Amino acid sequence: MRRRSLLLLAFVSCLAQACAGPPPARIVCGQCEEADRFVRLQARSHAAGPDRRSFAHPFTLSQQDWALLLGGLRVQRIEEAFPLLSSKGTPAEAFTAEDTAYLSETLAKAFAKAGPDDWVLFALTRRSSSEVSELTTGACYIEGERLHVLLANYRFPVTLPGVRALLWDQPLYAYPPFYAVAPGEFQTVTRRYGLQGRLVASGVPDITIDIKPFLLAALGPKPPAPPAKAGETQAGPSAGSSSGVSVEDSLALLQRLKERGLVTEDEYREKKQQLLNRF
Amino acid sequence: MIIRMLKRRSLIVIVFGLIAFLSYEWSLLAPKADAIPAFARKYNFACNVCHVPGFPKLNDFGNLFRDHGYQMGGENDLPEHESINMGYWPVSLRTQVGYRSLSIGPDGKNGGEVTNGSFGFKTLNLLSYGVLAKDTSYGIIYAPNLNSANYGAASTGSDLPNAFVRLNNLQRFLGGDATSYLMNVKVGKYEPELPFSAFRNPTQFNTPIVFYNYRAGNPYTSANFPANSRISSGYGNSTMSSLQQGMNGLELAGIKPTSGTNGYFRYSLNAFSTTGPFGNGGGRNMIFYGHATQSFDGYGIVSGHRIGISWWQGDSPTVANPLVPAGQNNAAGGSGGTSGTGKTFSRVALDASTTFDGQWNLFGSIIHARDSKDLIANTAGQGPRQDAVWNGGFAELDWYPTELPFFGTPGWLLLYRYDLVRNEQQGLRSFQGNYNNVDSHTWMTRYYIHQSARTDVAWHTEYNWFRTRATGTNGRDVVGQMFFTGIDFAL
Repeated sequence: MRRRSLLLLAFVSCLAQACAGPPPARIVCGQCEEADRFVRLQARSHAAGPDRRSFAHPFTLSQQDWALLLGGLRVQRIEEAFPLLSSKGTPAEAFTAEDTAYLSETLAKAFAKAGPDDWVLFALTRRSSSEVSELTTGACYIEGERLHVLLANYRFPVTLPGVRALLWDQPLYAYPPFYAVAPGEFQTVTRRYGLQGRLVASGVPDITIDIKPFLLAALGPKPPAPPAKAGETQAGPSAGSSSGVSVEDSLALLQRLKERGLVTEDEYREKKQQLLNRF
Repeated sequence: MIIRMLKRRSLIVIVFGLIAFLSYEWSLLAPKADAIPAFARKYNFACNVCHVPGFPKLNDFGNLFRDHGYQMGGENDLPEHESINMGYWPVSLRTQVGYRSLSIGPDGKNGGEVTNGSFGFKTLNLLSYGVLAKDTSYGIIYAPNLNSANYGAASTGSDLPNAFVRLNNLQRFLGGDATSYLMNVKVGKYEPELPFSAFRNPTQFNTPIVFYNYRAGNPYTSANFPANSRISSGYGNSTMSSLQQGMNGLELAGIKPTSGTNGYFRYSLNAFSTTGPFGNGGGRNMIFYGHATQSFDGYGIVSGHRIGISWWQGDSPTVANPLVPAGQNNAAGGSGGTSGTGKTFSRVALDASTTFDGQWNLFGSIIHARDSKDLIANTAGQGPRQDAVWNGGFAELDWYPTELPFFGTPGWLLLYRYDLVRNEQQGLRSFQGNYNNVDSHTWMTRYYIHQSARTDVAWHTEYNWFRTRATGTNGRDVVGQMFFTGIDFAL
């Protein structure tokens, strides 16, 4: 009888756990929740958390900083060959100018309001035809001075409303990838498992960006890095270098980094002098 | 007996569940170990762009893609386009492997249940579909002769179930454009535009839709059950034996968006020769088939609703064909093939499909069939002949939930189908009125273990129970059960 009760209890608890969906998402701003894209906050569930360390949230980065960070993300199309071979295409910027502008503005707002146990979920839609949408979904969080971008799905083609509904509800549910992340300087890529907290879970690319050196590198031109060796996860010439950043913008960025305590007084003076020498 | 069978099946289900789960996890760790279906590889799509979860059923977009001749409308449709890489090799494979058990038999005197259970595979299909040139598409399915097919029960026989070429967008020669009307002509061997595709039904390998394969007078046992001595032989009928794929003919088809219904009007008009699936060994007689549908608020499979009507009118040959080598059997039981003196048969069917919430699809069809008495074998001692008339139908409910409740996993397709056939008039008066009436229940689950631009892997579990009235050699009903669990994969 006792065994039967224990089995019943186990069954009910399993059922309760299975029925417990992801924690409710919180809308940050009006622009953050649109019909074909969103940026929202969500508390990590116990099952879904990559670990239990608190995030460095809230965290303030300007819209320009986000634009630099997002502009440094690059992807390569995976080109499959029959039956076993595959190759990767040329690396290209992950986000369009429109996507970068939207994410920069909304992520800046979201991270300013995020709590230490929140991560920031995002989803973008790109129309490839009248019937096919390509969905990009994932989450961001900051640990220490590192930004993590969990790129669960990148331009995943969708026609079924059920698939779209699933990704809108669970942006970290990962379908098979059609693109691979091409890590740039100060970026590393690992795979994270168990993010969905479900019966089965697939790996999600976790792009880690060292914010401080990345943004400092964006302040001035750098010599090209040596080409990556096959299999290296940290590779490539500078993805976030500042070919398009003016000296004025660089000085403003440097000032923000100093105010945030991301650079020391000595680093600030040295970098500022380098920038002024560019005149 | 049933309880013992269910216990054994439960164990098998658990074992396959574990295999499926481990396969899934393994597939994540070793993603380079499998290949890809041709279209997914060509367009860098996942399979669920064109299929509902668990393939092979097409979703709304997949149907439109097929209607447009496997073309997306861009330059990269063409096989010589620069963006087409080495991955585009337009050949795919599909098979189903696992464990299948059967039990069948009439009870009572001289009856007794016959059971069978075996690991194995059903068959192998080599599929090649694609575009030869702009607006010219093709399809070929090759099924090789495999001695151990059908779970070791029988060889399959080498054949091309499909071999056709289709000319698309022909309306442009009549001054139309593809956005308002699409007209295609197909020639070769192909599956007709049935009320609902047989080939695309996930139960096709195990439990095909009953009335697509039903012939009055021939005791129904579904495709899996070999003839056995406990089932009566019925009476001969030269009518076509199958409405399914593999018919030789010519099709004129069209699709037109209808703004008033926010859907599509589709039609398919066909002329078929009485060769191919009829077993008639070649002939000059013709069969005409048409199907027209109108959908509302979508295509009617994942979104919206659809109604349709289809009809068959044809002659089946009844006399020997001297051009066919002696020794080749014909459907009437003779030798030497048949060709002339065709006698008429007809089928009229209505079909409907409705959807809910993008996750539910309820669809079905009813059919009225009449075979001329001249197609019924004139067997001595079995009484006078008359037209064989029967009615049939099926209703199927498909559910592809966004996530399966309790487990929270997407990628499921759950299915239930009820098939029935009721004879209105037997071809021979000596047979009782309900002879060969059929009731069939089919339950099925399919779960996408893995899908990518290279492969589809689905865990398939299916159970079918059917009863055929009075077809046992002892005059009792024949009851059959089929259980299958295994992996269906395409690459």
